Amino acid sequence: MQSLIKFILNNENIIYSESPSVRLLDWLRDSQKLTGTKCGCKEGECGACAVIINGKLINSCLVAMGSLCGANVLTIEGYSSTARFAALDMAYASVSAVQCGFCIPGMIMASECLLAEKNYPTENDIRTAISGNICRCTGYNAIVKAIAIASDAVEYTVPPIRKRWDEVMDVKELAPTSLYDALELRKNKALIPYSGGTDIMVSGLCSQNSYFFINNVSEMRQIISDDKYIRFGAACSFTESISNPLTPAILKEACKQIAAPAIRNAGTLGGNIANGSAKADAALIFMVTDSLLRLVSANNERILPVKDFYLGKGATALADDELIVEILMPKHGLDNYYYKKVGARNALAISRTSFAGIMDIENGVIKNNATAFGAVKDIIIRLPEIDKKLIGKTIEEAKAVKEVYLEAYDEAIIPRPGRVGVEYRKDICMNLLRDFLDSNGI
Amino acid sequence: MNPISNSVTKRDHSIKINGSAVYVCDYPTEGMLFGRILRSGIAKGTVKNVKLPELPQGYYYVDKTDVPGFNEVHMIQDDTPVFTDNPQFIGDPVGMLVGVDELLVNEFLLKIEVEYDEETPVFDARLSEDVFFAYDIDKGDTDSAFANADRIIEYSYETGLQEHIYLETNGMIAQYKDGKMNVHGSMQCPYYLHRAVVHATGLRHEDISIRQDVTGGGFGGKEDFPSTLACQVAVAALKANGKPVRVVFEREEDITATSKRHPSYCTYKAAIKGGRITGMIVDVLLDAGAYTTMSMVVLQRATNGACGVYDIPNIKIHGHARKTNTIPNGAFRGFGGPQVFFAIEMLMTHIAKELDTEPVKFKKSYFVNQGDSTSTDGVYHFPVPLPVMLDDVLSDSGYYEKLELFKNQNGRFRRGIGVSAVFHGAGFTGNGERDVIKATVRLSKSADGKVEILTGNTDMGQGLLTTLVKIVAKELDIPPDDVILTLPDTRRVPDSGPTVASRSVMIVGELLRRACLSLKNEWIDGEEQTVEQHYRHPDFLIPFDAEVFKGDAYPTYSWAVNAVEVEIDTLTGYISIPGAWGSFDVGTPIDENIVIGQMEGGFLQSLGWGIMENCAPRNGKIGNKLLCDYIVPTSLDVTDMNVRLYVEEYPEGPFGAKGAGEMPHVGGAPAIIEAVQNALGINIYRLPFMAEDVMDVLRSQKAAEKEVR
Repeated sequence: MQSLIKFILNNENIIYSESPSVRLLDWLRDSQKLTGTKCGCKEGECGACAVIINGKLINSCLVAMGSLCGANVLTIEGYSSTARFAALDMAYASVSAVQCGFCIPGMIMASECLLAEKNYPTENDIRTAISGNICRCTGYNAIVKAIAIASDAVEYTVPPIRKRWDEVMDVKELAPTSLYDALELRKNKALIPYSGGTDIMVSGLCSQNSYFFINNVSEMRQIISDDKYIRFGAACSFTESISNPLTPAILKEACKQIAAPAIRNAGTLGGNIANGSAKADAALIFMVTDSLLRLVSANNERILPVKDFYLGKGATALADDELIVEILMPKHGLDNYYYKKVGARNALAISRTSFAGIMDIENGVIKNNATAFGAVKDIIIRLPEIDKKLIGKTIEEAKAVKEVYLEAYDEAIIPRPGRVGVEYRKDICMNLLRDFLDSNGI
Repeated sequence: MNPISNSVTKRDHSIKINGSAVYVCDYPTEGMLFGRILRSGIAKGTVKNVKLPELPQGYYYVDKTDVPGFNEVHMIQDDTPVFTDNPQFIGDPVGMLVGVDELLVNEFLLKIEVEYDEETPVFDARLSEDVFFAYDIDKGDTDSAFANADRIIEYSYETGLQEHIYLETNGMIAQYKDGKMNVHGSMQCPYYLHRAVVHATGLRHEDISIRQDVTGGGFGGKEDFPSTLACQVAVAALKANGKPVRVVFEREEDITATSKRHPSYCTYKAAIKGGRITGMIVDVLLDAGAYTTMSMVVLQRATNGACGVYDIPNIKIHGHARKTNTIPNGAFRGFGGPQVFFAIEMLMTHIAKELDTEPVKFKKSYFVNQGDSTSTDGVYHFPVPLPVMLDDVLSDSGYYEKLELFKNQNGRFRRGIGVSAVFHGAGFTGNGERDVIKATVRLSKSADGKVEILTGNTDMGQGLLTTLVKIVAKELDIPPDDVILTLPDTRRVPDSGPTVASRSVMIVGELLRRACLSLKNEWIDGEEQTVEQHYRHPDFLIPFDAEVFKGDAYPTYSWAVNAVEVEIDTLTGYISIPGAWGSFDVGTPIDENIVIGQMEGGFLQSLGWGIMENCAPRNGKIGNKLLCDYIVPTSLDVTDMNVRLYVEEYPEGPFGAKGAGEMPHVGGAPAIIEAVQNALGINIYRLPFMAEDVMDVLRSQKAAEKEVR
């Protein structure tokens, strides 16, 4: 028997008992006949299917039904009766921002999420808010203008009602809220842990997998600080990490450049590590900061340096019965950092090469020097034995070994052939590494 | 500006913004069958055997043996097969699997085993010996110009494939019931589909209807391709026992199997005498892909536009489109123009640099004028506003100040600015309208005084539902609410030609305006009345002879000047766009917002083509086949584009309107590539020119510096 998944769709209670692996997008369109939500790619790269879940913009193509326990889902059909929709409707009409219309329901959802957050958004706020919504017709100018016009009217409108399901949603056998229950489920090898869904739901076969959902496990949703570490719950989204005051600037900056708002609202820190990708942008920061992972199973718990977690392309040290529960990032020494992500465009970009560096200088002496390179090899490159060359030195002393240091990296960085050229990625690595030193006066 | 230009709320605004518009993918699927196309895995050869898995009741396979009429997709030529056993590119349709459950259809499709006899394919148009089409222009006395030249300058240019990425993928539904075939879906040209489905099914004209659904973008990508898909679903529908058969592409199939912009290879030789260009010999080669589809007409436009907006007295242009074993390339906004305008704009700059003169002034001194002869010995009959438009854009963008400012940059970020001047011949090339299209429109007045517009033209987002209504309401002097216009259904509308070539407002809009004049004359209150208007060729035109390629290729031209500023990060090669400016003359805008929207959207597509969009196939196979790797611009990749309109009214267009839709996709790419080459201090000969290419340049510049030291 399938579990019952209870959630709210456009202010109506839904009890869903079909397969929890079905894409929300397909369910909305096929079963609910809510065809205002469009399908443009099924990979989270166009935003045509964006809906609002618990007040956040989410691509419905990357959502499995089982993750919706207790959620509030709003689609264009539910939203179009609100006052704020009316403001957007008028504003979009006044500049003829609607051309072919296929991106528009998603674009309206993105507009609403921005206006719910900011009364007077800047042009950059607007462009960022819709940066995951591809429009091929307008060149975006008219849409940006429309949202600006709507924002002038928006103060006087009431945001959509967002009621939540009032019972506690704890579907132990599918979407537990306690870590204990999650770990019990994890023992069942047939189930794949589902956190944000933004990665596993891209696969064409995603709806045939069997998942259990850890996105409601409270122990994995918090960001706290102890005397040594900032402890990030693995199921915290990128957006939650960005908005939390405990999050160090280096991690915020990396998270802000991940994909686009709808992906940042769903994708999680733990998922970014667990997928074993060398292109993972948050993982790069955990590597350069020498963070630790708290891995827990039903009868064991261990702390593993994130560096030792990666074994090869897509291969990790995660045991079959373990979950990444927390990521422990050292609290101190992260202020002087350097971060650069190089993608093919300014949003919705997968890293072609990324670099992060940290240099902790105290009283003119380099106390710590750490670098990491993403999207170069099968595993993020982190070579403390080379970085050590600068530690304990003054800036002047470091200058003297600069070329030796750079040469060591020049030898060590051998990009894996990929779609983007090897020489190009190598040049970027070396350029950024040199710039990192330059920026520290070395 | 003419009062008609005042913007109104678009007719389809509400249904699109509230999500109630019904696109082909939105029809309820109960009782439908789903089709998936079996596509060739090889680039050239024959299919020896197709081994199907055991199919349960309700599932079936169709291939060329099921095509009751001709196994040809009727287009300009009929070489595109509906289904093939002799594939000519990877992705060529071999058959279609149909059944009640889409997931199962997919599963069975993957289980089909196909045996091929492979032959050697040709992927490089330059090595192809199969010439689909060739045209020659010979104007003036080029031989003497070259014989008397002080020097001859030669450069070659290349452009790459471009995919349309209309946000709605191609999709079509066909139902054959009670002897009638109904096809509806995403399309630009219902009557193209109608003729193609007649040809393939052998059914009678009157038994076939084609209806356009709300269409999520076209850009040319739904000009020729939907005819193929319509034939395929129609053939499948013949065996469906009256059930509708639906094919809606996933993005990957749309990218890997539908038409693209033709890659081009252009070589220019310029004869220079006394510091002036006296003649040019040009070779324009287009990679047509596996079938001819639209290549003939695309090549015509590329050939006659190869000298750009410049008055070169003596020219020889050889244009040829050659077959390769790749996806057939078809229509894409600009239609052969963007390729040659990129080449000629780069060429003029490169020649100016060789001659040590300032490129923009150099170009300006060659601008054509009203009364000058065109490359095909036609005439520019109307004023050419380029000089004013150029001055506007130079001043809007601060071109010369920035050029000065950007000299001798040696920091991490280098800026550059570039400018281009281009035209787009408005409407069909040559006598297409008169001899081939022969458009008809109809107005139907009901007793209550409401007037319905009946045309075969489509709105795919560009706003035709709104602009045609404005034209009719204005000319009849009735409220727009009393004018009815819905998406076309061939059962009800006459053939007023395809929605392509920036012709709909200029040609069809004018026919409607004239129909209004007749209706006004005959208007009787309370009576049902119908008027029909047929195309009439303007009298002033010099007849175009397609054999010798002489005469007026276009009745008039739209003009554009673009400027683009770039900033290059020398550490990463990344190109960003801090500024973009454009002045566009498309005649009277029938709706200012709509026209500005067209200009901005096309401009950004053109910039994407220049520096981002890349789907070059490797061994005939498209690698970048998803939206995560075929990169199109997001809202953060461009700044606020500064677009202005210049209005040079065209007396033969409705209220002075000319062709608009394609104009903005012509000049963006050359302007941005000029900006990149200015920033880097080099010459660039191809696009796309991307971050990797920038890094190659910087690497070799560094190496050269080292050598000097």
